[in-house]
Amino acid sequence: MNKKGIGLRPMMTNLSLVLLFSFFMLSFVYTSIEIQNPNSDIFSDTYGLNNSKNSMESTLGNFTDTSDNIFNQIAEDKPTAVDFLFLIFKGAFYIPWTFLSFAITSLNALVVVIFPALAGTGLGSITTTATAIMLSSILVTIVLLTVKAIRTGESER
Amino acid sequence: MTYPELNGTLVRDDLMELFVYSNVVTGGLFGLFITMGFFLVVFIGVMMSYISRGRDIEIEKCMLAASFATLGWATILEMSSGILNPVYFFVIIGITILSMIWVAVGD
Repeated sequence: MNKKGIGLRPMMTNLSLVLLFSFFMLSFVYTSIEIQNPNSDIFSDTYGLNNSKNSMESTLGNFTDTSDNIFNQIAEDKPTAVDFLFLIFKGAFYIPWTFLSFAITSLNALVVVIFPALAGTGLGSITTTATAIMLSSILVTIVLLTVKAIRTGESER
Repeated sequence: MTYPELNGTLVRDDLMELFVYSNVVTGGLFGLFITMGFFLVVFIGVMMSYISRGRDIEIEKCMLAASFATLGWATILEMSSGILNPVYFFVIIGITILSMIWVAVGD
């Protein structure tokens, strides 16, 4: 490991890119196979590809909901100063919360795909345990980074 | 052992049936072996590329390149039922995601 990637922020950036890239990858695989071969076995409930794609898409919908809420509140007829003040505070918590939600459900979606894949192939409990420990540590890191961002005021800038 | 006749398949309509036929004849091993072969070719190719450039081999990046290319190959195979077992397809997805995490954590 080189020293460039050490630290919370580079690690989080890398992992966020992993989540985003995984989302695009799963979406691409799902969509292309769905178009060419809708009756494929990979869409059965055994493998969880449907579940993971749906949960990822629903979390992406959270961003749209947050955006809609904020635009609706700004577009009200008689916004007062209190409304704007409240909006700023609300946005300061809503946006980190949405990122946290995206990260957690994306991890969950990855686990839904990875674990059935590894479980039936005899790769062993060591791989499963190692993956669980790694994903747990990622989750703890995400929570710590969110707490740090709120405490230091980075989320309000 | 009697092989199923090629004339009875849908080869004249769809060339992918040739792969399906090969998979049926080999008892499901054809799809697995051709996918493993593809993975090994890309994996060793990336390693050779590192060596030819005189750099240290980064095994996690070789894994990521090979698993990503194999995922594309397996996606093409999955567009027709009966060539690649879905279990192997999800193993490739799992390997790709784990390789991505390995590269992200290790770098």
